[in-house]
Amino acid sequence: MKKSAEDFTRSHEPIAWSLFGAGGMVVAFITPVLILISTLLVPLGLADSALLSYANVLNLLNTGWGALAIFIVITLQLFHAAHRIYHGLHDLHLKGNATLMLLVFYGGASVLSLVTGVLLLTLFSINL
Amino acid sequence: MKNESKPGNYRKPYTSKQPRWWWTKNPFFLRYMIREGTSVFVLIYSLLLILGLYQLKQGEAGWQQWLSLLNHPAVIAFNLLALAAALYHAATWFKLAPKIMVVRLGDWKLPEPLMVIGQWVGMILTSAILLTLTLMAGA
Repeated sequence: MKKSAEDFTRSHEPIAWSLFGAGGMVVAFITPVLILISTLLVPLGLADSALLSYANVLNLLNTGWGALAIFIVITLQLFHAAHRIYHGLHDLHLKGNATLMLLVFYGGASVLSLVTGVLLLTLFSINL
Repeated sequence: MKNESKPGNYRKPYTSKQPRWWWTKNPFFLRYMIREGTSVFVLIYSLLLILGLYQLKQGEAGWQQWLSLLNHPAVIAFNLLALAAALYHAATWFKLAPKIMVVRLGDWKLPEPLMVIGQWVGMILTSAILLTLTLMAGA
C-alpha cells in the first residue's frame, strides 16, 4: 500500500518549524538590509557600481565566512518561505496529495539549499 | 486493516463549509494573510540570489548579465516590494516574539514593548553595520 503523510509516525513539524523559526529571525534581521545591498543600492544609484563588481563579490566569497553567511541566509530564507507557503496553500483551500506537497515544499527547499551550497563551494575555490 | 486501529478513522466530524476567501472578510485575518504572503517575496528573492550565484560561476560576462537584470524596471519594482515585505515581516515577527518567549529575571518580567523596541534596535544596528562595511568595501 502506498504510504501517505499520515502513515509516518514521526512528524516533520519539529524540524520544519525550527528551520521556519530560524528563517523568520533571518528574514526579520538580515533580509531587509541584504535586499538593499544586493539588489537595490546600485540599480537605484545610491552606491557606486564597483560595489557589486565581479572581483568584489568573488573576494567576499573567498573569505570563506562570506560564503558561509550567504549559504546560511539563503537556506533559512528558503525553509522559512517553504513552510509558510505550504501552510498558506492549506489556508487558501488549495489541497494536493499530502506526501507530494511535503516533497515539493520541504524537498524543494532542500534541493535548492544543496544547489546553493554546491555553487558557493565551486565559487569559493575560484582564485582571482 | 491497520487503519482500523486508529480510532480517529471512525469519527465523522462535521466540518463547516469555509469559503476560500474567508480571510478577506476580517482585517485581522487579512493582515495574517499578508504576513504569510510576504514569504512569496522571500522565495522569489532567494531564487534571484541563487541565479546570481549561478551567473557568477559563469564568469565575468555571466555576472554582468545578472547585474543588468537587476537594472530592469520590473526587477527594481519587485525588489522594492520585497524590501517592503521583509520589513512588514520584521514588524510582525518582533511583535510576536514576546508572546512566544517571556524573558524573566527573578520576579521581574521584561515588558513586551521593551522587547519589541530592543529587537528593532538590534535590527537597525545590524543593518547599519552591514551597510557601512559593504560601502567601505565597495569604495
